Amino acid sequence: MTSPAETATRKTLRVVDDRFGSANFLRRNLNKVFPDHWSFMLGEIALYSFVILLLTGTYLSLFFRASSQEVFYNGSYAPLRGLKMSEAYASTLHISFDVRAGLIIRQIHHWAALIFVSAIFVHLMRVYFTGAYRKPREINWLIGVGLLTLAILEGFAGYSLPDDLLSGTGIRIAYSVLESIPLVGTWLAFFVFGGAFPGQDFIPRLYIAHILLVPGLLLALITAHMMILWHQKHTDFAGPDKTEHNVIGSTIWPGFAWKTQGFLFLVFGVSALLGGFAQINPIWLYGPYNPAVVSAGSQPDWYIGFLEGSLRLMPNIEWNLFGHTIDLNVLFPGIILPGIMFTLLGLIPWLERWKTKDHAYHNVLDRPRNKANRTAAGVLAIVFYLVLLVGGGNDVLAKTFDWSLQGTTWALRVLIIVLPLLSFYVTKRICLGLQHSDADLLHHGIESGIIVRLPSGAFIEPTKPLPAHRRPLLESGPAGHAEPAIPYGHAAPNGHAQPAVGTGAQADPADGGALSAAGRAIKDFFTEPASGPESPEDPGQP
Amino acid sequence: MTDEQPPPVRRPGPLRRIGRRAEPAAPMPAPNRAAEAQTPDPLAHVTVYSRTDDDPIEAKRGERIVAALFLLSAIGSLGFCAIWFFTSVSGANLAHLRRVNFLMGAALGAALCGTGAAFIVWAKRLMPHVKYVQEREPMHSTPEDELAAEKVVLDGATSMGIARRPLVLRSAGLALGVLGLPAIVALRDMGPALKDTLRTTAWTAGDRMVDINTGRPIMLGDLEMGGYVTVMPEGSTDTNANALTPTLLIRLRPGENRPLPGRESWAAADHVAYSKICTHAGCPIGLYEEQTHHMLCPCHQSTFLATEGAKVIFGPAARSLPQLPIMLDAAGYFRAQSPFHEPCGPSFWERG
Repeated sequence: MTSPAETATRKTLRVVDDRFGSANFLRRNLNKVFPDHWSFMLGEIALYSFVILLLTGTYLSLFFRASSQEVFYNGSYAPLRGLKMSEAYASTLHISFDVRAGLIIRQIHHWAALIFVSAIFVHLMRVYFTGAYRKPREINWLIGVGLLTLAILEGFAGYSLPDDLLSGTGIRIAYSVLESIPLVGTWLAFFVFGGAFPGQDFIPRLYIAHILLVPGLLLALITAHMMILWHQKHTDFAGPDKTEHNVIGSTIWPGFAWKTQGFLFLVFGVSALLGGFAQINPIWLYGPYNPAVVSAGSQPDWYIGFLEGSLRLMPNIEWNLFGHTIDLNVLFPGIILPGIMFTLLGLIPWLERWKTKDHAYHNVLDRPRNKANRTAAGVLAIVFYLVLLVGGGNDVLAKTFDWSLQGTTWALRVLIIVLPLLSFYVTKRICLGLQHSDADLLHHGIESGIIVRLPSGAFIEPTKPLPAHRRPLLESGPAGHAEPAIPYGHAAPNGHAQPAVGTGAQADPADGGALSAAGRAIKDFFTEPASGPESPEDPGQP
Repeated sequence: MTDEQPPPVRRPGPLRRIGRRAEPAAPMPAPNRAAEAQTPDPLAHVTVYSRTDDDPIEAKRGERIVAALFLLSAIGSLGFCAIWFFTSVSGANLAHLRRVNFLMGAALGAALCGTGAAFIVWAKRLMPHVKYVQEREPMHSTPEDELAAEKVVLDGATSMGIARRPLVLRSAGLALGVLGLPAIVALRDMGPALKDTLRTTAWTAGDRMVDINTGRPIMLGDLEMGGYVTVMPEGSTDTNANALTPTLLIRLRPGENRPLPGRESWAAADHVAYSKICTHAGCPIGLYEEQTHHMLCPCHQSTFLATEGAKVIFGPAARSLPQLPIMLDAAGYFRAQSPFHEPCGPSFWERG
């Protein structure tokens, strides 16, 4: 007995297969196993916010006019009526006030852009700290760094298009940064802007870059990124039965597909809620751009903040060599420093190989603590970046806390050197400490908190053996081969026997606690519970 | 239910019991069972790793939750349309606009989050929790395949004669090398030649200074002591066309101005004029502190001292703001004595 739906499905599959020979392909790929871990969805957030950006951006492009032509505003926003402004700004006001769903779509678009760049950042950190960029995935890392760079450019281009006072100031700074490039900079600035700042050509050119060139590149690179990921299979953390040569998880069809498409809608839904409830970039409050006007406390979108900070913290060095000006105070923070940062970021897989001489394949992820130097270097980079980001708001900081602006700037100039180095050291010590506690846990079991007096009069603290399903993760690190595992119940190094604690008498300190239970509940909403076949038949803690 | 297991109990997280499936997986019905029995196992290359039982009561509850979420989503979508139809957006009323935006956000959020959550709950609660294990094939090919591929590439190259025909290779290199030039040459027209655009402003000798906002000429007495105004040359007040021209006219208190050597005659009646465009990254100098005479650029906090030729006293700017020599005409209006003596705005390679 076959249902009509089944017949229809079979028929469709046959029709496709007759033309493309797709049955084998379909079978293999629908049965592909994808590992479950919440951190593997960070990249998905980036992907889905890109989809949202394409959809909402297309809607906005129906109404936006990328033109610097000056018009007198006569739309429905009264405070600006009669003012001279560019058509770009006027049409953005039109979208916000006279297109019925315009404001919310504009705000969703802007929020999704912030989510897009943020998700890429967090995804990149996940990949870095777990060592997922190692062979064979170096090229995909490089593509990812390219995607991050393009995403930042795309975001900057997007929020600059309305030609309001805030974003116009950003474009002015970008022009100066272009001008600072030795030899070709001035020509470059003239070519990009069609002459001296601001000119009539830049907004239309920026628009084409924002809606065609950069998104096209993003789309191509995202496709490559995904195809490579698909082909190479996903990495996974160490766990019961997991090896370098297998993947354990759910199949694409139906579990993963259903969950991931649900996730797409959730990301879209959260963007919509933000667009509805959280105002963003209220350009009507800034007014149209005017090269002679600026407002205090001008802040770019967060992902440009580090450049703003580097420009603010840079000491005022300018050279005059052989009749030419090299304004290092703009060139270094605006071009050289970000150039170094992104080059180093892209080269990480090769730098690590050069240092470790590790040419092996790696499909099992590292725990950050087990690679103390890598983790410490990553924290160093993050802290450096954060000091730059904070530097981008030194005026806000000084005003909020009533500090001296000069003092704040000087403090940050010192901190940008000291704090990263300090954080490297501290992180490394923390990692090594965690490695020690892992080794302790693995070889001596879990502390029970009970002191037992033996008949001989000696006091010992008995330990509870580590549950079997927790061992593989710990064994994957240096603790796994630091010293031979002491079988449970045998003599401890101190010569005392280690009696077992009654099961259920004590909550496992590493498993218990309301907070970690809540964390598990959130994690388990998206992924399969982290259990293996060896999970003990535990009656459950009350 | 042939197994003798007790009814499965749902527990949170890793404690959930992993066991054998309680009932055989629903066999895929086929039009032709005999034929299907001979087809290879659809899960041939993956193995079931673990599987949790599903509680039929829980499943029933899950079903209701999924349906409720889908319903919520549908209500959200229809609600959005209703809001769109029954409200008129008018920027004249910001509070109304905000309310509409809130409602639209809530409706759209419910529509999207409802569907999203429904799909996830569907997968989590109604589908069997099966874990599969799949072998990873090595990323590299077999040595035979590698050798074969290398041979194909090299044989092809040999038949092209790349190594044997240097003339062809070099001429091809030449042709491909210059092929990009037309594109670069064609792009040349994106912008004009430099000329003196960056070195000059709209100021010429004798220009009257007018208020940038009102266009009114500035007279002696218009500014109070410690006051300042942004000025443009009369007749060239379009800041988009003259972005480097905006100038600050500041009235210092008598005796406060300490002119640089050679600039003793550049002030007029305790008034001094400096370019408003920061020498660092080109933002306008937005703040003037009357008491300290600090001129501050709000973009990167470069600070200039108005009483001493606008020299840099803090921040990333390296050069003083260019000073405009000014004078008072017979009628008491401020005028430029001459154009700026150096380029205004940020540095550039050719500035020298």
